Amino acid sequence: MLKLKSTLTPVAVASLLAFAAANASAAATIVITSRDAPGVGFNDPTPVDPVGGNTGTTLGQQRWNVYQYVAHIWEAALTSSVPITVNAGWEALTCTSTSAVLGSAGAWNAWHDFPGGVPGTFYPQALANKLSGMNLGADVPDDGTGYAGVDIKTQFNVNLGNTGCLDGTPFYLGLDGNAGSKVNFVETLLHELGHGLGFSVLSVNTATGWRANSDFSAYVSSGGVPSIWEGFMYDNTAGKTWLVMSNDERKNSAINPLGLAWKSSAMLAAASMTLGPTPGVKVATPVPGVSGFYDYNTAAFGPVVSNPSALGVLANIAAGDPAGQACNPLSPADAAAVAGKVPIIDRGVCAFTVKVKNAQDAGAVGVIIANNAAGAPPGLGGADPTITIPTVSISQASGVTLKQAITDAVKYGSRGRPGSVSGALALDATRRAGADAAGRPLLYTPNPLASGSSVSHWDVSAFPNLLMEPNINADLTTTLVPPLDLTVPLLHDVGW
Amino acid sequence: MSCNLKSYARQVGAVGAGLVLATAAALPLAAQADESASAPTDAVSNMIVVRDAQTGKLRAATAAETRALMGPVRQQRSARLNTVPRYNANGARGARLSDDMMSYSVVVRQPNGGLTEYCFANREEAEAAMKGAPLATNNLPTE
Repeated sequence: MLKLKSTLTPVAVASLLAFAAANASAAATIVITSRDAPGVGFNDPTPVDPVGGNTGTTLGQQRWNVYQYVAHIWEAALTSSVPITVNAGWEALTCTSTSAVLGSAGAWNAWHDFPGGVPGTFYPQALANKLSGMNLGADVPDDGTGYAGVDIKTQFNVNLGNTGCLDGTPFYLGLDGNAGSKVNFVETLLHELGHGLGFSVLSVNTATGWRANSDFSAYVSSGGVPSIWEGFMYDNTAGKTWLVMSNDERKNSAINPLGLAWKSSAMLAAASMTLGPTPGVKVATPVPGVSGFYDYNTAAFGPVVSNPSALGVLANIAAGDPAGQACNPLSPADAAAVAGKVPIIDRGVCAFTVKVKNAQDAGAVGVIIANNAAGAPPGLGGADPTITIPTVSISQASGVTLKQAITDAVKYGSRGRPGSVSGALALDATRRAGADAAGRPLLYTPNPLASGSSVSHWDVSAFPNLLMEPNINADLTTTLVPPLDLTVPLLHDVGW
Repeated sequence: MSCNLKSYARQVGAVGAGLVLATAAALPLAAQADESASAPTDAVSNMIVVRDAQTGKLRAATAAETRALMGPVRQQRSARLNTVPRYNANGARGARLSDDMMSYSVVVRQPNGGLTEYCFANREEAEAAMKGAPLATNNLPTE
């Protein structure tokens, strides 16, 4: 038996077993077929040494072994009386020396209005087959490819690691998670097959909010067929699910940061088992109504901030400088205000690093950048190796509240010891990382609609990291259920 | 169903100076046309009114003029996909999807040498990332 990379505690194992027992049924069977030519891809005869539990002795064998290994993980996680079919190939995909398309995967057929499904609702074929108890693609005529009726199609980059294709960095084909500086193929394939099995809104164009029409030949402004996902996609701002939204409402919801959640009672329970407390700036002050947690983001420069850690007493500097707050060396008055403290500095006009360096030069022990526009706290880019104090960002609204509190706090102290506002980085046990205020896990909805975005992922604020976030993180395991992951609970919601 | 008058007028303007939309009454009917059709039929052409470039008077659009007018509007209201319809004897309907609609994994080597792996919703987004479009978690704002 292969040894999996896992950090499961006895409690976690017990939870996992309980989750599995609650969903016990016959496991699924996944049938993988190759479309590779002789000598290519799965048939590559290049000799290789066994690696990380993968005993294959040719490159092709090792690639095949990873597919089988990942298929077994999915087979254990899902149930279906109909075999799940996957067609796989290795192809030359887009590359540069520093980047590459690793591969792609997805449902190859989709259906609606089949026995056992919600009427008028699109499903990926593998799930439609499970619900109907029959292979809906069985009678699909061959289109010359030999795989017209399969559930899922995949292709991965046969050139990865060669010159001109992420030079020198191939797929890691071990099964133990110890990918080092290579690309972990197990996690990549596990993630992409997840999309093909049903972790996808599938029939909605998120850029327009339009749905696919009945034969999936076009996205249309009216009369489209909803996805099985839409009844679970609850927008906290709109106060309704995608199922009952207009096109524009769905479009807006797809770019409503931290506003779109997955709503089901089962998922609520799963998230409570899985997601950890939310990191925040913990503020303490005698000013009524201000103490508590404020969301923050981190900076690419300066020391890495850890949580928990102290920040210090917060301070204001003069506002209204047309040259931008802290864009020039601080005035004597501002320098006196920030010495030994953590100034809140408005974003704008000059680089974050300039503001922070000026504050550091004036004696500040940290900086909080307040956003100058509505929305979530921004990640702070830039580089300056001379910056040695920690920096975090907060939202514009939080900045307004805290700056006013710094002013108001004075009267809550004595003449010799004025009241103050202090901050520290801490974990908010009342909120789960990657969930909304009700504890529902959030889907990824950045604004603007960024590359890598899609509501068909969990939000990147989830902690611990989840398999189906848009970034495939290095600390993932191959466990798909609570308390480590939420992939299977979502798939159960849609019918698996 | 809605039809954006401003967008419609802009499309009309693109057809040619000799064609002018003279009545908004034509819009609702146009908006009801089958979105999956590739070209309008003559049946709707007499509901589109144009100003004749030579006489300056309003008249019903010809079929050719209607096709010229309606084509862009229909494109705007439906985005066609490279799929193949599927039918099952039990009444189920569906489609074979396309490579364009798959999820794509992309890896990018960062300036510090580390790798960052992203999953994109479709080929278009993945290709954009390969051309240097801003990614989800790098290229952070610097000011």
